[in-house]
Amino acid sequence: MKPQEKIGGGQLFALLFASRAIGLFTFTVPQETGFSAGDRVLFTVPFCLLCLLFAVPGLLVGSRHENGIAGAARAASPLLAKGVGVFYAAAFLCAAALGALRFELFVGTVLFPESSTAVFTALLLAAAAAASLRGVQALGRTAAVLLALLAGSVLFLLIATFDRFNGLNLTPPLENGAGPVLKNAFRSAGRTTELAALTLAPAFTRGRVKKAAVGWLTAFSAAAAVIFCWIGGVTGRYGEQQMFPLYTLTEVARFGVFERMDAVLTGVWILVAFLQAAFFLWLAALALKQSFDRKMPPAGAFAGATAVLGLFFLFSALADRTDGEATVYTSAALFLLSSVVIPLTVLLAGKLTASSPKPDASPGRG
Amino acid sequence: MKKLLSFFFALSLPLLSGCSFRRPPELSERLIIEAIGVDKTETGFAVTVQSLNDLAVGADEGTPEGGVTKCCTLYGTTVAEALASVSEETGLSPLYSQARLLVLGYETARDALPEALDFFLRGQNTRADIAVAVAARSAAEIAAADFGKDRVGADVLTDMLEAGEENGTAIGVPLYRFMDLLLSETDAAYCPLLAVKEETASDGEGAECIGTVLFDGTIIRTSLTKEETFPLRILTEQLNGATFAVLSDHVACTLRVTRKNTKIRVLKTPENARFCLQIDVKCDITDLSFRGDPEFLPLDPDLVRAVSDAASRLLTERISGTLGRCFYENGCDVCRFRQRLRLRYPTLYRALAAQGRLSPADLPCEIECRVSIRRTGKEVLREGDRQ
Amino acid sequence: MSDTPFTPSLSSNLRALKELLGDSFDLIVRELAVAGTKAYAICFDGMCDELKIAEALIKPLTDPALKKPPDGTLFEAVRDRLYKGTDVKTVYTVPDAAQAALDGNLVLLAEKEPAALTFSVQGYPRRSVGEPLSEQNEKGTQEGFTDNFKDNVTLLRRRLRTPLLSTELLTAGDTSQTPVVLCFIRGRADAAMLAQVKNRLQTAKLDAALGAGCLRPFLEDRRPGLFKGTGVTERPDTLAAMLTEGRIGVIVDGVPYAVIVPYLFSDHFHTADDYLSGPAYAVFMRALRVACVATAAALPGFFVAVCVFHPEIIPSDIMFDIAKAESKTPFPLMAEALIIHLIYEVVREAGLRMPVAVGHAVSIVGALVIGDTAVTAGLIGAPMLIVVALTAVCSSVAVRLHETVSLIRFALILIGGLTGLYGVMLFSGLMLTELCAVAPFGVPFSAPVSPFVKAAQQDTLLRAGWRKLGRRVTTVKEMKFE
Repeated sequence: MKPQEKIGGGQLFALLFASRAIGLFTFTVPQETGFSAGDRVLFTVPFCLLCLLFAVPGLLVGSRHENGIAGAARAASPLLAKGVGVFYAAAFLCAAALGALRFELFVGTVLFPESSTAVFTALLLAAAAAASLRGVQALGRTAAVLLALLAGSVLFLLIATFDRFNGLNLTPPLENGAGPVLKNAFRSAGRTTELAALTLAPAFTRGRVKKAAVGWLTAFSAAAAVIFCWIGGVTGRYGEQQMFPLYTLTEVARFGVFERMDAVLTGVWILVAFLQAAFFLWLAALALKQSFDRKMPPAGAFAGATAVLGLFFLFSALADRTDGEATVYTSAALFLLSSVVIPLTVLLAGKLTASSPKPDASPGRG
Repeated sequence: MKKLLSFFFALSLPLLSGCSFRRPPELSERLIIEAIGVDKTETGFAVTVQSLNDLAVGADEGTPEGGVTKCCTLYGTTVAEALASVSEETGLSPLYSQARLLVLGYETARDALPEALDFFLRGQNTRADIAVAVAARSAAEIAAADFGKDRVGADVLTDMLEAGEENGTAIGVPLYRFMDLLLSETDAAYCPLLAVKEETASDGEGAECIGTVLFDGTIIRTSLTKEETFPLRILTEQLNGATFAVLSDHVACTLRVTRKNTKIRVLKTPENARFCLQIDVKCDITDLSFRGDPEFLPLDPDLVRAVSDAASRLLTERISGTLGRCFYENGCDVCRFRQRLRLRYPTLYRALAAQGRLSPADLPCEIECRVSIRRTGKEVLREGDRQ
Repeated sequence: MSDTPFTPSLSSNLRALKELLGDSFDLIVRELAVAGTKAYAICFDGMCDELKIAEALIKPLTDPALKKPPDGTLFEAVRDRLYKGTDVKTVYTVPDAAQAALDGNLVLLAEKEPAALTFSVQGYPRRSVGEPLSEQNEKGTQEGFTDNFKDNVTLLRRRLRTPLLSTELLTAGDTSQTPVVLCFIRGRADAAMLAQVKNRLQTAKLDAALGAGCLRPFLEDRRPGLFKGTGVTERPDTLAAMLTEGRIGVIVDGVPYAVIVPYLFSDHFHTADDYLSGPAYAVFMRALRVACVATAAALPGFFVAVCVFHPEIIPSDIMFDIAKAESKTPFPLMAEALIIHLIYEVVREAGLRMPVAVGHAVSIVGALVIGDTAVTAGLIGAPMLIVVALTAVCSSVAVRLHETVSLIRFALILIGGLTGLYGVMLFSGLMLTELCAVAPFGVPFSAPVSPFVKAAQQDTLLRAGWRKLGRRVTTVKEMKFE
């Protein structure tokens, strides 16, 4: 990719933050007991540390080659490069489907409980496919604008509920030990499929990938801590009983004559879900392009969106049958493979290729 | 051509897969619900719904025939089932998001609170900040109370509660706060108590707030009068402004609270914890008269000091009385002592909880209330006091 | 036209020229004797200033006292000594001479001269400099561009009296051969951008370039979109200001507009008055314009979406009034919105096209019949009428975005009515991405907001005082991604 087609570190930060934010906004309180409001604020610390740890393989392999993991894999073996490309393309499509599934749960529960959400998911993916065709620079700039909107809307929400915040509604952290905190930190880290994007980031980012990644994880964790604290302080145990506590917080927000702020903030969340889907679709196309050295035709974006829709239906059916457990394990597997296992494998392959003796180029004598 | 085909293919997928999209009703096809009253019956629940009068029928100008609101009562084994039949009764699709008031009948609140509230806890369309109240008798009579043809009952009642919050005689609680307190393992829930007015108003019966109901868990423990609600607002740190009268042998004085600062400190003792309630109230004198003497009283520092002391004693007495009534007699932890202990000394809290030593008797409290006079209006000072 | 060169034979030159220009009634061919040498003056009646021709050309050339110069040096003598005017050129091919005649020049052919002289004696009717009709302002100049490109260049030069201001003459349109002037400030305009603009203008496949709108698509991205990376202005001061920021202006003959390249999204919210008012007021007005454009685009769709799908947002006090008003109308809210907005567009179009004489009648019909009677008859609700009125007023604030805003508005009404806020936000996201994707000549359309260019923030939404603004001019080169 030419330097003028790449995005800056700030835009990468915005893309990653906005993409992960959808998980934050649609978070649900785990059903198991023992994970209290205070724990939720505290768990963002181990979550951040875990994510930083798991980001290391991806960042390392990305720094090896200007094309990220695809380039590093190709340097090791062209076959490995193709395999890596196909895997990451599939991984990003699965990540898009999981994101759509999470968002579909929100839309189907809150916005349109009486309508089929498949239509809305299809609309989201169609729009995302169209947006992904515009390239990473368009997505990066859009993310920067959305990040400002996001920050503004969350700040507005905090101000609108400021008078209702009461620290007494929180609970002391670690009341039930560190177990629930660490368990949920692992679970949430396992949903951070954006870490896989760091393996390809050098291909589309002008420098400062590490800074952007560290900044993103730190800022996101801090924002999550503030939001969880606020939810607990305002809605208390009522919020914990609701499917989407942050949405409940927006329901009780009030500013002047404007009462229910939920629709306004829902709008921002829809934008963010759209951006996440577009970003993952674009990353899938990039993974294939880097590995097969062939640009995807525009129809490929819509084909990818159709594939995501198919995966969405699949995951939805699996989730229904397994009470949601299947998506948790799928997400965790995806995360481990794309962020840790494959990058380490490529790193190892690269080292082996570098250390293996090269065949003697000079002609034999005698 | 290929692009066009791909586009239609992609578009047809969701359409052909049987996905449907239901057009929601227009505004005029909706029943705009303003207040909901829930009463328990022998077979389930009776839900009284106060809604805006039929918009399509009615004069272009002026009040529709029958008033701006109308009521209907629905029956079902659960609240949800009862409300589900509202479309059948009225022919309109219910819109819960504009409902401002939820009234629970006394017996319902006493005997079936979780069942009555479950719909509002789970429903996505209901407002989380709808005001909750308990009726002295039945919720139906409150929801159907007549405030005049031109007035929406829910508006009047919620305005009344807000006004009561201003003068300290009522304590409004939104649903999410009420549920939070109900679900808490340490705190006590409370909400206003409404009753139909004894005397008829000029064009209707009307209803009023007569006090506050206190819960311990989901059980009604006791109720406070309007006068007792004022100290409750101080204890729950919700006093915005109020007036109260201070009477002594010679002087009758009305004070208006301008600022209040409540500090509840948790003090750890070797065996348990105790609490220190420090209340600092700043007031303005709004009127002052010498009892039995028609002359205007000049204000001097001694008089002001005397009024301040009398007010402090009065408030301390009232606060102690209310605290005793709520917490020490009925176990309603309105000051959230246990929660404060839990946050401040979590280990001690766990130890005491394990030993079962978190009852009111185990958590003594000292009250210090100081009233200071900030402004006295147009002062008339003695010559020697002029600066 | 093939490049047929002139020959020393006057008759054959004349014949070739007449053949090319055809048998038009307004083609004047006057025979002269210039110092004893036979010559012909060719021009188009009405295109040239007859008095200037007579005084500056015919009179000195036909002076009987003139001595005959040596063969082949007549034109030199005419050009250097005889002609009293300023602009004279020598052309060597028949097509060039024909084009010069078509441009309003007088062409002189002479015996034994294998060339032609062209004299700039234009005298065609032209509009005088007047107020810009589409970009009014309060405190700035009241001069606007005219239909003549030379006058427009003059208006520009009066404002940028710097030797660095360059104006290159090109032509556009195979048939129309419309003069097009490329204006830029040397050293400020990006050389690569300039080369690209020139190349696109020169390779534009256009039969007749009769307006700036014909050339704009060639200066924009190939992919059609709602957002255009070029802009137009009717004001010479605006063009001058834009040129100082390193942009390139394209003045097209025949239209009182100049095309500006690149034109960023934030430029749509700037007016000349912003720079002539105090900074605080300028900032306030810019924010107001942004809000107006957002309102004009999104309010109707948002209103429909909220009323149909998300009535919980509506404050209770207003809800009853809206519901009551809408209960009386026979149409669903989306249909009502579409109908009334279509009517507004029709009224607006009628206002632009109709003769002035019937303007009052249309205003009365629009105001009374549509505004009052339709509501009284219960065909549309008063809240919807308020929405359309607000939309109409707001859309007049940023006129340059009217096309884009109108299309987005209708799309949002449809989408809002069918899918609610969900569809509205998705579409908005898509539009935002489209906006961010446009990059005219490598400069992001959404700059300097995204990507954020700190130095440019002093004149984007904010407007720093002139003491700060005057210190440093941010050029578009700085926003270009390398």
